[in-house]
Formats: sequence, structure tokens, C-alpha cells
Amino acid sequence: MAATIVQDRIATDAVAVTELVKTYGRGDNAVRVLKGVTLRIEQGRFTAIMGPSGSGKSTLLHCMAGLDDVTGGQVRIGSTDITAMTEAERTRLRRDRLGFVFQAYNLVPTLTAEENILLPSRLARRRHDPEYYGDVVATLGIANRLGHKPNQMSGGQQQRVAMARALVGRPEVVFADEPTGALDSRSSGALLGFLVHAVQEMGQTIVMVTHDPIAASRADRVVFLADGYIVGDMSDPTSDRILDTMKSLGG
Amino acid sequence: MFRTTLRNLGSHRVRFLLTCVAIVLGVGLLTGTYVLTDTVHATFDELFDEISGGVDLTVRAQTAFENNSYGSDRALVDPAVLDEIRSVRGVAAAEGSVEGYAQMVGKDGKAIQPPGPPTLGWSWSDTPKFNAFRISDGRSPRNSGEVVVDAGTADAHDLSVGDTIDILLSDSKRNFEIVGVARFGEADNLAGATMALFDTATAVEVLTGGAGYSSIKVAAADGTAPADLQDDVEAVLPESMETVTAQELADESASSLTDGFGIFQTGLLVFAGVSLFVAGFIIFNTFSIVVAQRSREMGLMRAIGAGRRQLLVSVIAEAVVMAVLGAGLGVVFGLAVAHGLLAVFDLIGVSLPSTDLDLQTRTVVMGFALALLVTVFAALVPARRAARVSPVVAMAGEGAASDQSPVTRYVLGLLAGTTGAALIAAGLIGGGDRALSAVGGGAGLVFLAIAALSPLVAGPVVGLLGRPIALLRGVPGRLAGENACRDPRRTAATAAGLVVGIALVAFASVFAQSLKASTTGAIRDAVTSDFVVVGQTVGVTFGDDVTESLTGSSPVESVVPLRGRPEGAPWQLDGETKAVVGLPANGEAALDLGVLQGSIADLGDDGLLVQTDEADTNGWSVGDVVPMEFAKTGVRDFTVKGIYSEDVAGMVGDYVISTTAYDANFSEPRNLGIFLTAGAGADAEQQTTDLLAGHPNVKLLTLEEFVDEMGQQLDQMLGLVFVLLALAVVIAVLGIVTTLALAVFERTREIGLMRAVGMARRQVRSMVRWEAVIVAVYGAVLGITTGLVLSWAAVTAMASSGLTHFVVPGGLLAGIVVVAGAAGVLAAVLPARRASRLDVLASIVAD
Ligand SMILES: Nc1ncnc2c1ncn2[C@@H]1O[C@H](COP(=O)(O)OP(=O)(O)O)[C@@H](O)[C@H]1O
Ligand SMILES: [Mg+2]
Repeated sequence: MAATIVQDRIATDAVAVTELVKTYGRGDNAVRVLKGVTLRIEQGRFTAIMGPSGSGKSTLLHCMAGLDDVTGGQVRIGSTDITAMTEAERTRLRRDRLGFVFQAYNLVPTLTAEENILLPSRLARRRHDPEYYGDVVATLGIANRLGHKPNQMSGGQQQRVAMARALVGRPEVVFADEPTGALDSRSSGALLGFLVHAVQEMGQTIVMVTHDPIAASRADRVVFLADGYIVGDMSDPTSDRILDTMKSLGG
Repeated sequence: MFRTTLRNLGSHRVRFLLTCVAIVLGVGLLTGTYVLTDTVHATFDELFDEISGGVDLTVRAQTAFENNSYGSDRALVDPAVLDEIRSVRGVAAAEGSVEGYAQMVGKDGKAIQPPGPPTLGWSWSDTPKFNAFRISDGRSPRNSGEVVVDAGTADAHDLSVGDTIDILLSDSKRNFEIVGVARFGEADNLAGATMALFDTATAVEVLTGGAGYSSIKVAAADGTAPADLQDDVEAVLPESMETVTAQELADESASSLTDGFGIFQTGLLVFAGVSLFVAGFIIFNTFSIVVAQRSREMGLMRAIGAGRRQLLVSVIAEAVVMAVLGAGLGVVFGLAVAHGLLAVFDLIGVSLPSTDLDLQTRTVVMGFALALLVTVFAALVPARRAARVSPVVAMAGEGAASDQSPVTRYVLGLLAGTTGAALIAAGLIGGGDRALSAVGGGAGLVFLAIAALSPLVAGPVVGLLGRPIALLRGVPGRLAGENACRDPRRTAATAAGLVVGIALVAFASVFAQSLKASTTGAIRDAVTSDFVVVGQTVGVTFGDDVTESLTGSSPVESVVPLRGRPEGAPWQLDGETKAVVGLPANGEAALDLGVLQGSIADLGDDGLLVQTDEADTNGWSVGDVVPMEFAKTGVRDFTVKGIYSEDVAGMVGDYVISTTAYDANFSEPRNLGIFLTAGAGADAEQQTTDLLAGHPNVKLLTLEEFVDEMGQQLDQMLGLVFVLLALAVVIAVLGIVTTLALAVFERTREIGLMRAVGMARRQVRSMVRWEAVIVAVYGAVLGITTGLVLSWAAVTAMASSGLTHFVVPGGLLAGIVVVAGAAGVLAAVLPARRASRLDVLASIVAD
């Protein structure tokens, strides 16, 4: 019985991180940022990662998303162990199975919104699903911006284009690092709305790093990181509870 | 502020080095050229000082003008004059000296012909102070059957004392015994010329046909000042003769020999110029990008109180440091260049006595001055942009300062372009001594104009070039096109080097092809004979003994020798040098000059045929008198006896006189070719070839073979052009490498982002590579267009001097575009590798 549950978990977890250690630098200069993180991200859910500045949130995200190599431990996307992958394999993984939204500088300035959205599939020389593309673009409200270049769009619009890029390939996981960090509260609220929508209506798995309790409160679950360890895990969070936990962490 | 400058330089060593390389190359080629010329000059100066030290005075016939690298045309000195001079008080010794054509025949039966330098015969003097040669083996020549040869030729052709050797003379071939081998001062020979030395009586006979001496060498008695003696000697000389001092003669000989290196000098200086020009653009690009990158830092400095001037000065200071270091390295590189070229000269047999390289202060000053000028000038616009950075930028983030209005730039560009075009036109049409510098300066201005104006076309053209690549190479191709379009001005400046190099190459190849078509066309138009006798080595003339061997022998019917010189037998009209050829009265038997009026047969001793255009330009018609001034004989009045077609100017030039008139006014009656009609059939060719058995310096060609050979000769010129192409491409590649490396650095975040969302390293490399290809092909297209326009203008302007055809070698030009594309691939190797290895996280983490 117990074995079956474990098996099921492995099958349904979008991301599984086991005893993850990440050290920057060598010798005396070595900084241990992640000291042994174990974490499972369930499919079809919206997970937020919170913690004080410098606690290693971005580092964890990068390691989970195959953007950086790990010092120790294991990261699996679905049933694929990515820790043993070469850089070329990780690139293909990111292109074909993951989606990304960063805080800023999300778009290639020389390409139009449409080209930016379709960049991963075109890099893979793969056809995208035009119907789904139409849905995503319509939902995000950027249909009339597709021919524009990034410098002709507002910050909020740029982030929505970035989200469209992340969603349009139906990735197993979308990783977002402070996606609302550079936005005003209105645009920020709208973007979070789209994230929630993507999870609830499209069944998308999303992992979002943030230090904003209001943003985190829109997630299904919040994981707290401090000093390189997971120090808290909260389901159905509210911003008040999050604030309390953050205070207790001294952030 | 200056410390900031140094720190900036130190922290970007690679960029700094790349930027310097072009300066180093330019200054290196420039100083190398001057070091070489100065060294050659110093060597010859020293050599001739040493040699002519014992000859206090040289007596010779006057010449109307200097015209020839290896001595001027002069009348011979009557041997009677020697006795007169000997009788002058204060003359310790006087001796006649002779020089002329003498070509040795090697053991393989082939005439020995050095590549360029002449084949000389000289008289041997037994008076050591008159003799530049020293026997290194054997002994001096004593009678008409003996010869001494120079050590260089002896070594190269395995000749030694005791051998017999055939020597071709201006009117015969004779057999001599080699009794000695001699060296010329410290050198094995005289700058590559071959030397046959005869005793004086023999030399007079075989080199001048017994007519006299080339000059008389005079030594002053002890206690007599050469200057005083000069007056006394001149007093006994006929009006037409002159005396020169040892110093004058040494200077004259040294500079005429140094002039022989002029073509190397011009070629090298052109490339030094191209390098410095390209260096200017590289520096411009580097500083523009750097200033844009540092605009925040500069805004901060402005915010905390740095003045505009201080920012301007800090950027200029960086440029100055760069120029000084680049020029310093360049001078060192220049010494290496000079050394290498001397080694090359040695390899092709033009040996120079070993001397230290002559690095003059002037050379160093010039190298540094040009480097500074180019660098500071190129950094000026970016520096002014830096000075205009507003303090607000520090807070506001991205966004460089506003720029000088493009209108100013375009107006200046147009101005430079028109001035340049006017200069080129003036140079081409006006001709004369200043023509080369006018054309060169004009071309420089035109290139500047193109650089200023080409951002206008860079956008659309690059966009067009990017389209097929986007289709072929997908996203990386599309991005490559976009990146190349991003900043048309930068793209234009990056491609500027290739534009210049390829414009020159395109110009030269179109010009050479047009010349080839015009010349071969002229030959086909003019020559009606079956066969042509030409020098065994292309472009080497031969004596009239060949004509004699052919005349009157079956199966030869008519023999028409064409007198002339490869560089043009010179005469002057009011100080302007022109060329003339000589044809015998039976000329029409082999040549059809399309004579409109008159006839070759009627030329006589003072008749002249003029090409139509030339006659029109000068307003001459039949019956007019033209005062032709010859170096040897002075002004002679010739009467225009006829006018001939401009279509044959590519073959005989603009002026034809009779063989008799030619021989009377030029020292050496030598032929460019002999046109023959002979009985038909293969037999005739074999029998005629047999008639030439005694003349290893010539060969018989059919008309078609002759046309081919003339074509090949021009193709060799084109070969040189390809060497230039290689150099131009190398220099231009540097420009692309530098800009691309900076662009990659500038786009770190963007590349990181694309890598994060799944762009493979291979695709990053492909993107950078195709950008380079697009820029390079753009440069090639613009360069070819410029070259075509310039060459069309040149060919049109020179239509009257025989350039009747304008030929565009399409295949060759297409090849150049391919080579340029390949050069782009090459230029992209390092920047592409660097881009593909950028940290994926760079885009996300930075800031
Ligand atoms: N490339 C790196 N080299 C060295 N230290 C790093 C590097 N990246 C991050 N760090 C350090 O790791 C710690 C965690 O960084 P990060 O994951 O960005 O934190 P967060 O996103 O939670 O603010 C910080 O102390 C930071 O200085
Ligand atoms: Mg972070």
C-alpha cells in the first residue's frame, strides 16, 4: 500500500527535488546556498516559493528548471532525472518541456510579440497548435499586439507576452521568477489572474518565486525557504498567514 | 579621470587588443615600406659612394630629360673627346666607359632573364679607382674573346671560370670564354641585374657598335680640387656634353635604382592606407559601443559633478593611449615587414648587400602621427556623444544620449563624395604627375562618403539579404538578419573595411579585364600578319639581329619590326611625357592601323602618324608640325603625315614614327615584336622557327598565340590583385570580428534569455555566424558597386588612350561575394564561440 502511494506520487509529481545542494565558488570562497532541499511539486497546481532576499529562491528555481547545474542531490522533471543531463540535453528539455517567465527582460528585442511567443517551437522547428495559441493570446488580451516589438509595449504587456510564450507549448511546468516584480499593482494583479486562470482552466503546473505575500496568496500552496532549507509549507494560503510566517522567519 | 581611462583599458584587454591590431597593421605596413625604401636607398647610396669615390668627374652627353630607371638615353661620347680631356691640366687619369645590352645564354640554351632588372654589359677598367667590380675568382678580361660575369648570375646559373658562354648583343650573338667572376662592391650583383664585363675595346665594339663611349671617367691629380677641374674640363667639351661630380652621380644612380622599388612602395602604401582607414572604423565602432554601454556610469559621473569636457577628454585619452601603443607595436611590426620583404627580394634574386635596417625619425614620427590622427578623429564622434550624456541617465537607466543629426552627416557625406569624384575625374582626365595622388585622395574621400551615406542603404539591403537566410536557417537566420539591421550605422561602419578592399579589387579586375579586351581587340584589329616574334620572356625587347635573320629567308615574305619599349619609348611635348613606336616603310604588309589619311610608307625621317583622338585633342591635322623632344637628341620637328584609328591605340599607342627616325632618336633600337607574313601551312611555321634558332631570347607565335599571351600577361596583373584581395579581406575581417565581439558582449542578456527558453549553442553560433555573413556580403555588394562605378568612370575617361572596351568579369565578382561570405564565417568563429558559451543565467541574474 505504502509503496503504491510512493509510486503514484512519483508518477504525478511534476517536479521532484531530493536533498538538493548547491554551492557557489570553491574552497574558502565557497557559499552553500542550498543545503539539502527536498520538495515535490504536484501537477496542475500553482506553487509559490517564498523567503527572505538572498535565501536561495532563484537558485532553487534555476536548479529545478535545468538552468543551472547542481552540486548534490537530484532533480526530476516528471520521471526524467535532469541532474545527470548534459547542457545540450537540458537545453532541449527547457525548450520542449518547460516554460519560463522572468522578472524583466523576458523578450528578444528584435522579434515581434508573435515571434517571441513562438520562439521555442520555432527553435525546435516544431509546429505549434494554432487553436491553443489563439486561446492563449486571446485570454491574455494581446491579440492586437502581436505585430509589435517589445519596445512598443508596456511592461505589463511584455510580461503577458512572456506568459504566452511560456504557455503556448503546453509545457509540463512553467517556472516564473518574480514575474510581477517590476509591475505596478494593477498590472501585477492582472498577471496573477492569468496565472491562476492557466492553472485552473488549462490544467497548467506553475512554480512561482516571489517575495510578495499578496502574489503568493494567489497560489494553491506556498513553500518557505530560509538559509538554504525548506522551513515551511502552507496550503490554501492567505496573505495574513503568509505575513505571519515571514515574520517568524525574520524576513 | 585619466586613471579611469587606464582602468577601462586594462579591464577590456581583448577588446583593446583587437582594436589595436588594425592600427598595428596599418602603421606596420606604412613604416615597413619606408624602412624598406630608406634601407634600399641607404644601401645603394653607400654602394655608389664607395664605387664612384675614385671617379672625380664623369663626362657624358646631356640628356633633355631623365626617363629611365637604369640611366637615361644619351648620345655616345666621341673617343676624340677623351684625348682632349687627358690633355687638361690636373687630370690624373681619364678613361672611356661603356654600358649597354648584353644578355647571357645559360647552359640550358635559354637566355638568362632576371625578373624585372635589366641584362647589362659593361666595360672593365684596369684602373682600380674607376672600377666598381672586384674579381672574386679568375682574372680580368683582356681580349675580345673574354668576359667576366657577376657572381650572382654565376651562382644562379652554374657558370664558372673556363666555361664558354653565348652572349646576345644588340645586333649579334657572340661566344666568349668566362675568365673571371666579379662582385659589385659588397654585393653579388647590382640589384638583380645580370652583368657581362668586357675589356674596354671589346665593350665599345659589342655594346655600341664601335661608335664611342657611354661616358668618360676622370680622376683629378693630387692637389687639384674636383670642382676646379670641372670648370677646366667643361671648357674643352662640346656644347652638348656635361660633367657630373662623384656625389651627383652616386645620388643619381642610387635614386634611379631605388625608383625601381617604387611599385612595391605604392602597393604597400595603398594597403597601409586601407588598414588605417579600416582602423578608423573599428575604433569608431568600438568607442560608440563602449560609450553606449557606459552611458549610465557617465551619467553618474555627470551627476556627481564631472564636466562635459572631462568626459570628452577621458574618452579621447583612451583613444590616445590606444594609438600610442598601437603605433609603437606597429613600428616594431614595420621593421619585421621590411626584414621580410628584403628576404623576399633576396629569394627572387634581387640581392642587396646586407645592411642594417634604416629606421629614420621621420618614419617613426609619421607612424605615430597617423595613428594618433586616425584614432582621435575616429573617437571624436563617440567622445562627443559621451560628453552629451545627461546626468538623468544615471537614474533613468538605459538610453544613450541623443545624436548628431543625420542630416549633417549626409550633407558632409555628399560633400566628400562629390569632392572625391571631382578629384578622381581631374586625376584621370588631366593626367600628369599629380594624377596618382589626386585619384588616391579622391578615392579616400569617396570611401568616406560611402561610409557616411551607406547607413541609408544598409537597412533595406541588409533586410533583403537577411530574407533568404531566414527562410533557410529558421529562427537563427531570422535573428541574424534582425541583428544586422539593428543599427544600420554600425553595420555600415563594420562593413566599411570590406567595402574599401573589395571596391579596390573590383576596380582593378574590371580595369584589367577591360584593358585585356581592349588590347586583344586592338591586336586583332591591327595585325594582319600570320606570325609574331616576341621576347622569350614576356615584355622583354630584342635586337634587330632577329629582323636580319628573318629578312629575305624563305618562307618569310614580309618582316615588320615594331620598335618600342615596354614602358613606352619616351618623348616630351612641352614637358609632358608621351610614348612613341617605330615602324618600317613596309609596315602595312603586316599591320592595318586603320589609317584614315597618309600612309606608314611615307613617314620618312621626320614624319609622324597620330591617333585620331590624340590629334583632335591637340588640334592637329595632316601637315602640322609637332616639336618632339627626345632625351638623347633634344627637340626635333616632326610633320603629321597621317591620322589612324583609335581602335588600335591599345596596340601601338598614340604616335608612330619610322624605324629610321626611332633609331636616330633613341639609344637602343630594340623591338617589342616583329610581325611576319609567311607562306601558309604548318611547314612555314616550323621553317620560320628554324630561322630563329640562333636567337634564344625570342619565340615565334601565331597571331592567336600572341593574343593569348598578351591576355595572360594581363591575367598575371590580376593575380596580383588577388594577393591584394587576400590582404584586404584579412584587414576587413578584423573589423567584423571586433564589432561582432562587442555586439555579443552587448547582447549578453538577450542571448542568455534565448538560451533559457531553449536555443541550443549550435543555434547561437549559427545566429552570430549568419549575421557576420550578412554584414560581409553587404560590404562586398557595396564594394563591388563602388568598384564598378569607379572603373566605369576610369575606363570611360581613358577611352581615348585605347581603353575601348568595358568588361565586367561577372564570375570573378560573384566569386568575390562568396569569398566575402566565407570571410564573414571566419570572422564569426570567435565571437560565435563566445556567444554560445555565455552563461544561460546571465540574462536572468544580471541586475
Ligand atoms: N553565481 C553566483 N555566485 C556566487 N553566489 C551567488 C551566485 N548566485 C547567487 N549567489 C548567492 O546565493 C545566495 C542566494 O541567491 P538567490 O538564489 O538569488 O536568492 P533570492 O532569489 O532568494 O534572493 C545569495 O547570497 C547570492 O549572493
Ligand atoms: Mg531572486
